[in-house]
Amino acid sequence: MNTLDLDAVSLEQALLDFEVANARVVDLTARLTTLSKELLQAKTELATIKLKGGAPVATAAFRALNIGDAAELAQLRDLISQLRSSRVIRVAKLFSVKLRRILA
Amino acid sequence: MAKPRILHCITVYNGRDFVPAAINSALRLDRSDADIDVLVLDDASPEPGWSEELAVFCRTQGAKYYRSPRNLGIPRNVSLGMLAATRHSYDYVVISNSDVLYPSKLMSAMLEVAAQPGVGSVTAWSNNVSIYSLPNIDPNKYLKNQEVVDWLHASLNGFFGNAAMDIPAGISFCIMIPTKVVQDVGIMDPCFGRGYCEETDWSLRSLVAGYRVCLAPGTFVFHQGRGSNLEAGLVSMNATTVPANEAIIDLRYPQFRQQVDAFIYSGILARAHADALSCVMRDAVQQYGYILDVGWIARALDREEKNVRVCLSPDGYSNRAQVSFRGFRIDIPFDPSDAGGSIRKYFERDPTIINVFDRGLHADSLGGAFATEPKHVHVNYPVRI
Repeated sequence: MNTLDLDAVSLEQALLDFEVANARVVDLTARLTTLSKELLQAKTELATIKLKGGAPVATAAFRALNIGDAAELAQLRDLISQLRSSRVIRVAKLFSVKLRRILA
Repeated sequence: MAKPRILHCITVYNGRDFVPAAINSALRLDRSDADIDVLVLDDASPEPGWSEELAVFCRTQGAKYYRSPRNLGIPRNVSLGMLAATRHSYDYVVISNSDVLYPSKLMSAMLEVAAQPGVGSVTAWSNNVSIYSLPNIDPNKYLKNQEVVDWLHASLNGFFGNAAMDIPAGISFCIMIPTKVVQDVGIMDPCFGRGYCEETDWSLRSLVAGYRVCLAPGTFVFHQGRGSNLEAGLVSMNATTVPANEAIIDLRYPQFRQQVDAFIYSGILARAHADALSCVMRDAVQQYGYILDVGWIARALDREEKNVRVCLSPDGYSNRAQVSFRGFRIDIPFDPSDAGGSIRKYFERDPTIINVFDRGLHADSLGGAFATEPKHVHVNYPVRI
């Protein structure tokens, strides 16, 4: 039926195509898993930012979302330390047993 | 000096209605400037009995024939042609669809463009060649004829000669590639599956390799369009592309769409279209003469539009006249105060017939403008509302 035999050329190229296709699958799988991880991370970051931005400042939700913030925690500890060392608190502690217990 | 050898590959998938005409057209290509072998690459056409019929047809007509044992898809079938050309020491490979008609002098014109420095591929001009198409209102009705294709090619070649128009990407409906470029750039990427956009990818790879991607405006190949792809169910009746393959192009070449837009807005194509249509009209007038119609709306009196018709508005105020010929349309400048002079200036001759369909200022004044006596062909009521 064929007047020009291209079976050998076609087969050789098919094998080469097969090799390339395999390499592409490996490469694409690697890129897919890397990008999936990046996507998951980006989605998490986006959700956190959305939640942080959505809660009004000075509300319980805002404080709950920001509780894990080490800088803010340190700031609060510093504030309590300042309060404890203030003259008003020190004088008040002299007259109040209850206050002494709380600040102990 | 030995003539260059060309392997002219026609990719086939079914297409019983149009493939024989394309093969016959290829077999009558003029061989004075090149040795041309025609190879029909049948991509395992599933239509019962068609492959056997095609094989016999090729054998009796003198074309080479190869049927893939299983369907490869367009890109890999095209690649087979490219590989066959390089393996069998051809100088050029032509990749072509099977729903086309070639002018007999095509290869001489394509070779002149391909021989220019740095040219990596030459796409023929056509009524259906993506964004570069020469506009025609109904190519299948007006242009699907071997004599018409030969005539159009001769006309365009007379005007554009061996001009090479650099384009963003080639179209493999009829593209000539030197085999040394194939060896350098490679073949079609099989990631385009059953086809579409593979030649865009190849063209852009060839550009990166430093080759020019050119269109030959001095050629004309009739292309019915989407014949095999519709047969294969690759595209639906109303679709013109495969979105998944376009996505690959967008991923690989993010600038490509902007490059195409820049090419379109450069005006090069619009100028080429205007020059081509003008040249076709003038040549047709020199050969066949023209008919001057005075009326509000152009009349298609001869269904095949074998005659050049110039339509003038009868009121005498329009400064454009519409010229039509075989589905081509062009507006030419027209001076209402000098009807005879302006038309004569454009075509360098008088009309053979003047038909006056609608009354008006022009209709009355035409009698003295040309030597031809106007023929009044009024109908019962005005055509235009």
